Formats: sequence, C-alpha cells, structure tokens
Amino acid sequence: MGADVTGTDAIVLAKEVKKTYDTGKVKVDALRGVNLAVKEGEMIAVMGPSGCGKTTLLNCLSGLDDITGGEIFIRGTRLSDMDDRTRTSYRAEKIGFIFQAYNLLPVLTSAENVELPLLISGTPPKEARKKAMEALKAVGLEEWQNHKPSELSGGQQQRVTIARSLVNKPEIVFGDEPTGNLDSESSKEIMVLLRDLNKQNRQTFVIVTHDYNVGKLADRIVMMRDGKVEKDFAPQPF
Amino acid sequence: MNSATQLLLIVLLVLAVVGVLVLRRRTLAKMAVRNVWRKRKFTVIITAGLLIATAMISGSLVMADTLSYLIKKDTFDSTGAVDIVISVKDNTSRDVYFDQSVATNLMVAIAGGNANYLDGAAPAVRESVSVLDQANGLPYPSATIFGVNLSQSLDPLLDENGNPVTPDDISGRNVVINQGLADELNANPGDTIEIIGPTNVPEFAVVSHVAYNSGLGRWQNEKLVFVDLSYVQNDVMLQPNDINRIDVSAAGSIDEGYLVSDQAVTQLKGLLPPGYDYVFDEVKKDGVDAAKSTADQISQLFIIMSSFTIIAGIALIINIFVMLAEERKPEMGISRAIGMQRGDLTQTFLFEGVVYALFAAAIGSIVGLAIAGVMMGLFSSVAGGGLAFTLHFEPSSILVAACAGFLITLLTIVVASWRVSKLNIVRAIRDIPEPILAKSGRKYLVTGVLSIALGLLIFASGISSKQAAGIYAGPSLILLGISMALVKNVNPRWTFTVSGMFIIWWTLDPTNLHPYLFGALKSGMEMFILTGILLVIAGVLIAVFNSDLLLGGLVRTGGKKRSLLPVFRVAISYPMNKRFRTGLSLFIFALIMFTVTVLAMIASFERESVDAMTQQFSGGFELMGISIRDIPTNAFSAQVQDLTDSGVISRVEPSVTAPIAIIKNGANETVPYMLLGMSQSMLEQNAFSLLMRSSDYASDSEAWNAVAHDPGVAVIDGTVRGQTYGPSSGTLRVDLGQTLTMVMSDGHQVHVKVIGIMDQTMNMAVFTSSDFVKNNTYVVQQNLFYIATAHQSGWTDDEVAKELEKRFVTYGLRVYVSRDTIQSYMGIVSSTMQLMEIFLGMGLVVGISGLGIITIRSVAERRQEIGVMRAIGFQRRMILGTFMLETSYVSLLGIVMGVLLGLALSYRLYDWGGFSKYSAFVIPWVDLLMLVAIAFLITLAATLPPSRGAAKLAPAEALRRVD
Repeated sequence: MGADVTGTDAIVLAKEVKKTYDTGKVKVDALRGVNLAVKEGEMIAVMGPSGCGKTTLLNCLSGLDDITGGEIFIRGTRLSDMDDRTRTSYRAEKIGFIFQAYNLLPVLTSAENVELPLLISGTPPKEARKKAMEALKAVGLEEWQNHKPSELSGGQQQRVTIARSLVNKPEIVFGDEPTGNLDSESSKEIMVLLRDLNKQNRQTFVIVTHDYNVGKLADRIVMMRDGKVEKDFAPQPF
Repeated sequence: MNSATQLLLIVLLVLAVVGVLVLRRRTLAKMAVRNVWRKRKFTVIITAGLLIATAMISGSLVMADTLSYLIKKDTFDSTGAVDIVISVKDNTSRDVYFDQSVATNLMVAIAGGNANYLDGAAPAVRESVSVLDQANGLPYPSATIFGVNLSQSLDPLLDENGNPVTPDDISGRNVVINQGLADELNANPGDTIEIIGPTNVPEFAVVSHVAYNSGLGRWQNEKLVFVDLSYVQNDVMLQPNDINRIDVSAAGSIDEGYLVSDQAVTQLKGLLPPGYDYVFDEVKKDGVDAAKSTADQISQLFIIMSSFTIIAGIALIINIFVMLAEERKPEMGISRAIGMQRGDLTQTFLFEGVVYALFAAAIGSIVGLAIAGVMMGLFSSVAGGGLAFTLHFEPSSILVAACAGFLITLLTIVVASWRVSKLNIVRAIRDIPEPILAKSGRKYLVTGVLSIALGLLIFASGISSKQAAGIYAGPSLILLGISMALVKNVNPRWTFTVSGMFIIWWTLDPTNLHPYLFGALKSGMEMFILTGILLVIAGVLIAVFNSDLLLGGLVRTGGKKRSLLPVFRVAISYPMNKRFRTGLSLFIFALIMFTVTVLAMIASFERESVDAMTQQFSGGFELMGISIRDIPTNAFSAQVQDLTDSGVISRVEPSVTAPIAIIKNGANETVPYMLLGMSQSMLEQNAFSLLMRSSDYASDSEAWNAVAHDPGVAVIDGTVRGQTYGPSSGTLRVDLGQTLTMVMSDGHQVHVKVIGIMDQTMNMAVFTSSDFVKNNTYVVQQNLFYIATAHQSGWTDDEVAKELEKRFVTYGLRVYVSRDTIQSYMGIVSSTMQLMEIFLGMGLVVGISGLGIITIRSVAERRQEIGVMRAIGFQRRMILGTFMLETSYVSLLGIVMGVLLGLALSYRLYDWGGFSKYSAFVIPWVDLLMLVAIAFLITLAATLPPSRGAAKLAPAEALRRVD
C-alpha cells in the first residue's frame, strides 16, 4: 500500500526512499522503500510504533539527513541535487521545524528564539522583531517575550517553538512529536493551534506522532511499520 | 624529618585512607576506574590540566637545585682543599702581617696528630697588586699576587696541560698567572709583566705558564699571579719571614671538610699562639651556605610567583570536575535515584580523582624538569658569558614536587567532588540545567555572614599587626559577604558590582587612604599575589554580573553586518548562561595575564630607569676611579693634563677615604665601613640625588651644603635602606635622623647625624667633607676620583677608563664607568623579570587548555542545540563562527581584563616601588600586544578542532537524543 506518487501537485514527494544506518558493527535499515506524496496545504500525521522509522522519514524529507536510496522531491526539486549550503538556506527560508520540547536555545529569550530564523535569512532586526512578536501573539505568548525557555512551562515552550517554525512563513512545517513532552490538555491545545494555523495560512504540515488523539486532527494519517508505509488514511473528522 | 619525608608520609597516609575506602566500596572504585578509561582522550586532557601545579613546583625546585649545585661547585672549584683562611687584623680591621712560624708550628701540630678536625695548613701571602703586560701595554689594576710554597701548598698548582708546576717555574723572575688574569691582560707564556705592589716598586717577571683553570689556579675567582713565597716576602713586600694568610684544610675530602669547619676553627683557636687578633674566614662553608641561601631565595621567588599559575591550575581542576560532573549528571541522577548516597557520589569522584592525581603528579614532576631545563637554558643565555650548566636536581626535590602537587590536586578534587555531588535528582536525570543561584536564600545568608565575620577578624588582625595583607583582604571579604547575604533581597548585579568596584578601589588605593588611616604597613612578596587575586576576582565579578550590558553593546556592534547578527547573538549568550564556568575561565586568563603584565611593566621601568639613575647615582660623573695606593692630587692632575686640555676630561674631583667601623644601632657589633670626604667645592654643587632627606633641608643641594660646612652631619649610601626589587647588599640598616657612631682607626669615636640617604648603592660609605676626614683620622687615603668626561671629544667612556687605568697602573687605579655598572645591575634585574614572565607565561597553558576542554565539553552538551540551529538554517560556517566567537569572547575578555588590571596595579607600583623617580611610565606595548596575540592565537588553535567538529555534525545526527 502506498501513496499516489505520480501526483504533480505534491509539494513533498518521496519515491522508494531507503535509509540504512551503518554503525560499523551493525547495519540498521530504518527506511526500506517509502513512497509518500504530500499536497500543498495538507496536514498529515506520520504514526507508528517506536523504531518504525517515523523520525528518520521526517529527517530525510526535511533534508536534515541524507538518504541511501530512492528520491525525494520538494516542489519538484530533487533534494539530493542540493549541496549542504543550498539545503541549509532552503531550510532557513522555506521550512519550519517543531521538535519535541526543550529544543529552544536555552540562552535566548522567547522573542530572540523566534526571530532567529529571520535573522539568519537576513531580515533587518527591527522587522524581524516585529514579525516575531506577531508570531508570539499568534500562539498567545506575546506577554512572555522576554522570558527564557527555563522560565516557561512545557506547553509554552512548545508554543514558542511553533511560533519560531512559522515566523518566516515557511511552505512546509515539519513536526517531530510536537506534543511528546506535554500533558493531554496541552497536547490538544497545541494540535488545535497547529490545525488553525494550517487552515489560516494554507501551509503544509508533516507531523510525526505516536498519539492517535493528535494524529486524528490531521487531514491524513500515514501509518508506518518496519521502515515502510503500512496504511495511509483520512481519520474520522472530530 | 625533612620536608620530603613529611610530605611523603602525608601522601602515604592519604593513599592508605583511600585504600581502606576502596576496600569498603569496591563497586564505587570499579566505577571510578572504568570512568577513567571510558574516554581516553578526555583522560589525557584532564591529566594535562592537573599536572600544572606539580610541574610548576618541580620546575622551581629543580632550578634552585641547579643553581645551588652551580654555586657549590664553583665554591669547591675555587677553594680546592682549603676550608678556612686565617688572617690577622688590627683594630681598624685592616690586614696585618705576622710571623711565618705561626704557620709552621700549626703544621707541625697537625702533622703530630694533635688536631683530629684538621688535615693540613699552608702559609701564604696574598696582596693586591697592579699588573701591566709589557708586550701589549694592557693593564690590570686589581690583581692578587699569591705567594705560595709549592712543597707545602694544600692544592697542587697545575699548568695549562694539567701537569704540576715546578718550583723553577715560579722562582726568581718566573711567575705563573691564572686564566682570569691572562684573559684581562691578553697575556701568553713568555710575556714580561710588570707587577706593582704596595711598596710601589715595580717588579718585572716572565710568565712561565697560564695555570689550569681549577683549584689553586682559580682561587676565589680572583686574577692571580703565582710566585714563590720567599720571593714575595723578600722582593715584593719587603717583609722577610712574614706572611698574611694561613690556608687550612679541615678533616675530610674537598666536598666534606666544610661540614666540620666550625669544630676545626675551635681547634685552631686552641693551637694558635696568643698575641694576635685572628680572623677565621670559613671560605668553603660560607660558599656552601651562600649556595644554599641563593637556592632558597630563588626557589621561594619562583614558587611564590608560580603560585599564580598554581591558583589558576586549581581553578582549572575545579572547572574540569564540574564539567565532568555535568556530563555525567543523568547517570549520577539515576545512581542517586536507585539509592546511592551523596557521599557515594563524592567517593566515586574521589577515587577517580586519585587515579588522575597520581598520573598527574608523576608526569608533572617530569614536565617540571623540562620547564627547569628550558628556563636554565634561557637563564644562561641572559646571564651572558655562556654560563655552562647541567641540569642538576636532588631526588628529594622531585619527591617534594610530586607529593605537594598530588596533595593540592587531590584537595581540589575533594572540594570539587563535594560541590558536584549536590544535585537535584529529577533535574539531573532529565539533564535540565540547575537554575542560576539555585542555593536557598538561607545558605547564602549563612555564607555571607560567615564571610563578614571572617573578614572582620582578618581586618582587625591586619590593623593590630600592621600587616598590609589583612588590611587589603579583610574589607574585601566583608563586602563579598554582604553581597552574598543580600542575594535574595537586592539584585545581585548591584551588590556584586559595588563589591567588585570597592575591592579594586581598596586594593589600588588611588587616593592613598591606607597610609593615612593605618600608617606604614608591613608587606612582602605575598602582597603581589594577594593584590592580584583580589583585583582579578573583583574584575571577574563585575564582568560576570554585567555581561548582559556588555553583550548588548557587542551584539549591536558585531551584529551590524546582518549575516553576523544571529552568530553574535548565540555566541555571546552561552558564556553568560554558564556563569560559574565562564567566571572560572575568565579568572584563569585574567590572573595569568595580570601577572605577566605587571612583570613586563616592572622590567620596563627597570630598563627606562638606566638614564635617570645613571645621572642621579653618579652625581653627573661618568667615571669613578679607585686606586689601591694613594695618588697625590697634583700627580693625578699632571698626568691627565693632556686629556683635560684636549677636552676629553671635563672635571676631576679627588676625594679622600678612611677605613672606619660603625657601631650597629642597639648592638655591640661593628660593621667595617668607609668614610668618604669630598672637597668643599664638590659638596657645594653636588648632584648626587638623595632617596631620603631630613625635612630641615628644602632641597638635596641644601643638605649637601650642610655636609660641607657642618661637621655634625653626614649623608650615607642607599644600601642602608635595603632593596624593594632586586638583590640587596650590605647588612647595615640606618634611619634618617639617626646618629651614627663611627670608630676611627685609632679607636676614638665620632658621632654624626644622618641627614640624607643617597639613591646610589654602588659606593658604600658615609659621605662627609674631606676636612672632616682629615680632622678626625690619621689614616687618610687619597684614592678616590670622580671624573666627568666630555662626550664631544670622540672618546667613549670605556676608552677613557682604560686609558686612565693604564696611566695609573702603578697606583692600581681601577676605573668604573657609572653607566655600565648601573646598566649591568639593572640589566640583571630586568632580565630576571623577563625570565619570570616566560616562566609564568607557561601558566597560560593552563588557561588555554581550560578553554579547550570547555569547548570540547560545550560541543558535546550542545549537540541537540547544534542540530536545532542547523535545522532552522545555520550554515556550517555559522556554527563554527558561533563557537569560535564564544571562545574568543571569553579568552579576550579575560586577557584584556588581566592586562588592564595589571597596568592599573603597575601604575600604583610605579609610585610605591619608587620607579617614578627614575623612569617614565612606559608601557611596553609591543611586548604586551605580542603576548596578547600569542595567548589569543594559541587559544583559537586549541579550540578550533572541537568547534570544527561541531560544525561538521550532521543535523539529524545531532538532533537524535543521546540519553
């Protein structure tokens, strides 16, 4: 079972993607030929048991990691054709990331963390701060702009991460267990927030989670097992 | 029990205690040992950091051993079998001749077995003579003629090939000269030399050999002419059957006799006939004692100076252990969670520390040998003359260094282990950073109050004992205590900044408040270390608690180029988030740079002083001539008439001298001294500067005028004040306004009030008018000449000096060039400072390795953050830039802070050390900048590899959670 990999309207397209980790002693096949197409503006949840290759797939799709076989296209451009520099710039401009909690830079304040991607892509500092404040407002944290991560709750930290991932209006947002360290109440809040942002901004979301309550908020759930896509379905609307 | 044995026993005791602990908690010991081997690269770095203390101590001790050995060897080489020299003095401490039978009878007594502490004795005549080589006309005015009876001599006199000189070689008109004199005269065997002794009758002799440069041939390192004893007695001194020395060998070999020197003297006193005032000069023992005391001084000086490096090393050890603990925090948390006590964690670290400390002590003492080798090599090249040396060390020195280093390291590790074992289990397991100022308010309050109490105690004891150390440290500690006590109530930025500023102000005392409040204070070398530590701690506190302001400024400036802004922002935010770690690194860098800067500044003052000192010390006279025999004033003028006429010499001021003894203040002891009389006209326009002057006189020249006309007052040389920097000579200490009691050659006493103490220390004398000298003693010598030269004549001062020595060779005139004398004296002092700089510069290794370790650790602990940064768009070079900028920020801040504080203290030392009188405040910018550049570049080189590693991390790899 696989996705429609012929679709030309796909913003992210994976064809027979393979990834093998070679630790020297053992070889681990983390991805064994994944096919996946993500349409623009779509929100998909990648789910599956521990070790099925969810995070690896996300890392490969976002260009954080190299693949050992197959092809990945982002907006029709083959990722493997880009060098590290181009890929990094691409990430800075077009991609947003939401990781598990505690992935903010602990030494920077909320506002500084959020504006960092803008500064990297050369936005003037004043404009960057303005956009960062808008993003913080969008996640309801404009009051917390001068606090460092250690002074925020887990849910608040994750909302800062979301603000950071959205501040440069990326085309695609990748989230790796964005609610992984949160209680169920905060998880729901975060997912609703992501859902709203997705609908408002028409941005594409690829979210890895092992929590069905989170997954069911997506347009589509991609179930993985043993490095392959096992099922691909739309959840019941909530 | 000597110190080496004591230290060894302490170390063994500590190891025994650790051994018992290991037996009781084997699992912990196993964990510790496995931790050591877990990351070998890190083990190597840790050991390198830990061995610094041992290496510095070992280096200092080995240098002292080598110097002691050199001086001892020189003593043995230049005195041979002779341990004691007997002479006879009259009541003005002048040598007199006595009958040779005294020596003969002594020799008979020793040969008869009546003296178990004595090996032998030999009669000798030693007298100052002037020598002139007829072949090339070169003079040497202060040689020693050595009358020796070869058949009785205690040491053989050897020729240049090491063969014994025969009686024929030194009989009649044949003489043997030694290598020292041959070098001065440029003389060779076969040359005819002219010898002028006290009788002023020139004797002509032919050099048969140049003696082998050891033993008798190097006697007391003097320039020697060996002649047959009876020839000296009859033909040179005109004192048949009289001698002025008996050389005595104490029982035992050349290097053992001095051990029974005192017993030998007691025995000699019983054997010698009464009627003479004997003087026993224990040459060998004194030489060995001098070697020991020089070695002690050197080792103390270097150990005191290296305490800066050792303190920096201790800070590094703490830093290393705190980081080790941070790295292992999750596992430590888990250990605590499953039931390990805090003490168990401390013990595990302690066991691990013992392994490192043992490695470090062993390797450190060997590294110290290498440091000593490098330093001695530099020392010999600075000392000039190609001083040959072989590294020499006593095994006990290495043992002391290893034991002391081990104990310092272990003590630091115990403290560090105790500190790191205090952790919050949950935060540890989840690897969440401890909040800044995590301690409870009560703990800070208690620590603060204790510090205040301790500070008050130190302050009070400083005031009562007039010790500068207590007065400086006490209030500083009180302020720090107040800051700590108020942590929870007042923003620590304000309290600690105020404390820091107060400590700097109090230590530098720019308004001279201390003398006003506390009067004159006692202080020594320890003050240098204390002020250094206080200033640097204060600087670090101010920097750490105000870093955000500094950073704001830096980010604004550095981030002007838009692409650099994110790099700047991240790079300088990290160091300030780990304040303890950054503070320690800053402390290490600043402390070392502070010391090196102060030393460089003192060396600069010394160099800059030469001109002014020459002017002030020499009274404007470029040359000073001292003759063995009186030169009548008119004879002198007549013989230099042509030089005066042609403008080579512009002025000659003859002075008179007389031997006197000064009664030491409050003691029954007398010190032989010189009374010096200047002419009225010279005194009236005297330009010799005064270090201290009685307040009765408005200027130095007024004081000199008083000396010219008032027989009740005098001025004395500068040696009576001792020396703050550099070696001090003379044992007499005199205060301004003190009345001196002088014993004249006929025994009567004269009193003068000291109204001035001179700057110059080269000519040790009581300065009065020539009339005063003539009116008070019969023994007046016309033997001192102050000579001013005219520089436009085309003659150098050295040439004029050589010419005068040649013209007055019959009088044994020795001419000193003031500038040369001062320059060589200041040169030695400033070279010593520079050597010290290099020695301490090695301490920079501590700072640099510290930052290297921190960078390696930062890369490891920030893996995930690096991943995030890469994910959100940081390029590789931006990651590299972030780390390099961070390192540069810490190292440059430390370096600049150290240099600035060093300059500030130097500015005060400029006044306190009396440099302002002679030298301009010249900052050796080139030296300092070079130092800063080298320190900074090496730091960058050390931190580049781990930073590169960080930049190369693959983002997905970095993001993967490791725990």
